[in-house]
Amino acid sequence: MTPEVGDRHRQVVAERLTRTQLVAYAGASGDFHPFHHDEIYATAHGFDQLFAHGMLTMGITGQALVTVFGPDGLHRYGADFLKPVWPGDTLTAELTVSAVHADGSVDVDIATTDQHGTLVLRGAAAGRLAAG
Amino acid sequence: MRSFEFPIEAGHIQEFKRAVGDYDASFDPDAVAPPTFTVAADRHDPEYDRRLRSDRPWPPVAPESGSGFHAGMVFEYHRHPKAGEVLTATVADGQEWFKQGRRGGQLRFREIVTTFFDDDGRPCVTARWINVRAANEVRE
Repeated sequence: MTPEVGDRHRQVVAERLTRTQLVAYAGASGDFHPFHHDEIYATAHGFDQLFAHGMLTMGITGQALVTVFGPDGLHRYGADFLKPVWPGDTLTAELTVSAVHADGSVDVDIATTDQHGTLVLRGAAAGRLAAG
Repeated sequence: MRSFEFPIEAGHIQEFKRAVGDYDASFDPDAVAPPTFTVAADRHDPEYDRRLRSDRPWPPVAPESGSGFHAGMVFEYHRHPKAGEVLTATVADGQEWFKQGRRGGQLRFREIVTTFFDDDGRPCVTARWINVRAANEVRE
């Protein structure tokens, strides 16, 4: 099916994010900043609790992009981290086609929201959609 | 500018996929790296300080020192790396710009650009890390 501007894909990319997943991401990425695993450190520096790496939110959102573009269809992926993501949050990524190019590639806007509807990540991506 | 090698290991890709929510990712010796995987090159960067090190105190930088926050990231994929490759990462300063903050102060944005080259010297992925901090906290 030919994509059209305005086509949407919604995907729950994290359900009740756990501290364990934050620790797993610290290990996999190598980013052991204590904000993301040390509750005492995070609260001592003014946060209510520890919170997710921005790159974890971006990586989690990337699952929706892999669904749409396949493992090697992406040309570009950019994101701004707008709000902290906390343990317990459920994240939904919504991709909206913003342009369809003559070569078949598409641009999409990305909005990832938490269970309250708060926008935590805003971004854009471009690439060639996965077949099927 | 500095550079270091980043071996793309199949087990590391599996670990990373599970960490970003693909909990059942299996070991695949030919796996394609997921979209944000190259950020994990940091574990191979000799200068990286968000880890325990024998030569530096922990934690490395207290927030009150004005080091800023990671505000965003952009990846450009010239192609997607696969397990078994060894990429060479080069790290350089990128653009810098200022913007008015919502609370009235001025914010300074700075990019750190890491380009990953393959064995043939061709760019594979370009990653732009965007850092922000209050302009009046900047101390060179």
